[in-house]
Amino acid sequence: MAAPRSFLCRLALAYNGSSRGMHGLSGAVPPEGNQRKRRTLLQFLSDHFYDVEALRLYLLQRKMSKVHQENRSLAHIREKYGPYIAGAFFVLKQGGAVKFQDHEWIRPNKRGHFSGEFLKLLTVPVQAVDASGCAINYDGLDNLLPLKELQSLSLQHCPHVDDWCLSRLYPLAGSLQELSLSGCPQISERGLACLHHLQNLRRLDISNLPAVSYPGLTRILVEEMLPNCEVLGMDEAQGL
Amino acid sequence: MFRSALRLRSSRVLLVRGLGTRRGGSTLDWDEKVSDIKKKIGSILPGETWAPLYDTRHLPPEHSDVVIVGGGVLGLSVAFWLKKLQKKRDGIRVLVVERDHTYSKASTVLSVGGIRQQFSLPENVQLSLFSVNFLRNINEYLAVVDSPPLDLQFNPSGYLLLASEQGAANLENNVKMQRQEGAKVGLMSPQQLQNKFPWMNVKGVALASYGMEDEGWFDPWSLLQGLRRKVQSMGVLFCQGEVTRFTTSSNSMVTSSGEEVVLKRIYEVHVKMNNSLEYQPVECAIVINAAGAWSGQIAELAGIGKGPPGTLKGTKLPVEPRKRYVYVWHCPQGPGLEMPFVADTNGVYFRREGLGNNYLGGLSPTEEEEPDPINLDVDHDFFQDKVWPHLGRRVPAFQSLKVQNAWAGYYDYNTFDQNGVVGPHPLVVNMYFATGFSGHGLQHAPAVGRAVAEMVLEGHFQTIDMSPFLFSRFHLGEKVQEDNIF
Repeated sequence: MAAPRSFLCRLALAYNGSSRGMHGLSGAVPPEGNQRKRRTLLQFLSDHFYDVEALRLYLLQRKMSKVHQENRSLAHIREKYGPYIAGAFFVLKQGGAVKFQDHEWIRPNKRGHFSGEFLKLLTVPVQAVDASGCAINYDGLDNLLPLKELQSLSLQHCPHVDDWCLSRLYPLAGSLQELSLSGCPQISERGLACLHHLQNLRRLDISNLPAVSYPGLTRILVEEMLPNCEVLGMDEAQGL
Repeated sequence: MFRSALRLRSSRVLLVRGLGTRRGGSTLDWDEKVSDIKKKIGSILPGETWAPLYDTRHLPPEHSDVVIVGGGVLGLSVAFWLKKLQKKRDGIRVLVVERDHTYSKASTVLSVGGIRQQFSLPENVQLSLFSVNFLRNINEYLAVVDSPPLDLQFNPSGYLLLASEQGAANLENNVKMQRQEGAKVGLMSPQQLQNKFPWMNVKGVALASYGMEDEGWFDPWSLLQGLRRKVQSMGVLFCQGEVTRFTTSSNSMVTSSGEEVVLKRIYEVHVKMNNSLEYQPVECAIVINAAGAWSGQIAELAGIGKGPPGTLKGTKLPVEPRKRYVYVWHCPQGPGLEMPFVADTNGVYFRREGLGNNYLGGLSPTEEEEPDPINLDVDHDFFQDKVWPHLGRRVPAFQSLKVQNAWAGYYDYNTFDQNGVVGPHPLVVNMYFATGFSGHGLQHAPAVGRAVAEMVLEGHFQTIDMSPFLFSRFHLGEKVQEDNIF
């Protein structure tokens, strides 16, 4: 059954085109003139046939469960090797990079493979994590929060990092000095408001956050909230 | 043409009759018969009052398995979980009856929208934990094909509950219990409080509890619309009308101790259309009372409370509407982004609203000062006299503020113990309650919806045990008091 489903998936992508995904834009915004006429075939079928709608819903939920699968808790690895190794393994599996204290950056190669050398570093704390572009979400942060000596965390361009995830970062308050949230599409000023726990933060990169409604004002408020921190991004020129 | 043919026929018949009578046969009395036929044909032709086929699209269906009275967040949550937990596709037919589709007086949309785990009852903490989980994964639960993802505008800023000397021990016990249940709450001393929130005046505060995670406030309207959209896509029928009557059938039974009990079943719900006398009797198997502030009236319609006081039959549903005011003010020197939802020692609560130094808050009046819930007019003197002095004392910057806006909403206040009523009524066996949450209905709605759906479909609570919240506690006098009500 996998072949017909993946075929339909490709069909869906082909018909939906660039501007619409599974979460189409037809809900909140009334479509203008010619867009109204170009309602895709798949949407027409979904409106008129229950089985097409059910199939599309199933495909949508399968996509979401894939993200969950990638973010499952690695409790067994944590028990066996300790929190640092578990966190590092999680980040490397997702495609990010890890830096242990006094060691070099460990990155997976283009095919996603990484060396198992870090498994020997049982008691060496993780100093920096670069999870740019990874599909990390709220549940996946379970694996990163035990890293008590984490100094630098980069969550650039992570599509599933949202306000809820930011509210979860407070256990890292003791050590986190550098945080980068640039380019995350789901972060808004409401999530930035709960970064006040991170009092040791010295460098915060909040450039290019499309969901923040008033960038200039938000930057001022964040600077007031974190007086010792250097806030990058969201220049005054944009939408005060 | 028809009538002329009739006339012709009658004239011919007269000739025949003439012949017949001469022969001595029976008189057929054609005149009367013809006038009858004429009357009948006249009534079928258009322009007459006999109309066998008329438009009933605005009326609810004649049969429905479950009728949910009330289309607020609790009613829609029950509808959602009923459809989600049903064993067969389209196995259960649900009808949601909502009197006002603009939701102008509904508690859901007039709510401040806070969600917290800082309760004094373990069950409430569990309900909040599940509900926050639901809200976090709302785009998985409420995914509808071709609709944009839902944005609840959740502010994860946490709740800060302040306690004076008297309340400090209680607060500490509560926090211990909440942490055991899995809530992420921490205690703060006045000194820590002053360091963290320099804009606060900590005089009179002995202890504070701060929710670090999973607490904050969100937009209830988005939740309502998201639920509505999903629930409509799952096949739940909506009707705009008012429930005016329950038709019940009684069954007299004898308990094991020899007492005679009359059990009632609601088999029909009369749904009256707005601005009209037209009503539709909907045959149903189960009725869910999620009418919020008006649940008491719906319960009375079903005959709950009609009996000698002190008996189970005479125990009314103690849910009544209570008016609560919310004020929005602007204070340019006020606290910044880090401000949580603060609940003061005397019950005054306030939180930040947006980025422009706007704040909103209020206070629940004491029993003696309860305003008349007949309408939703705002009493501005209440803010001047009762709320502002406390605000100014707790946050010195609030001594100069300007009220921008104010509104009033109803609490579906449970006068017995300020906690919700969930589950079936012992005598009216197919009426289930999901109401009476006295100000924390919105934050418990997803979990309560699931509990009621489990009760309806399985017959018992499966995930969270809500048996302390059953109706029978009103008759037995077992209070499950919730202390942290604002």
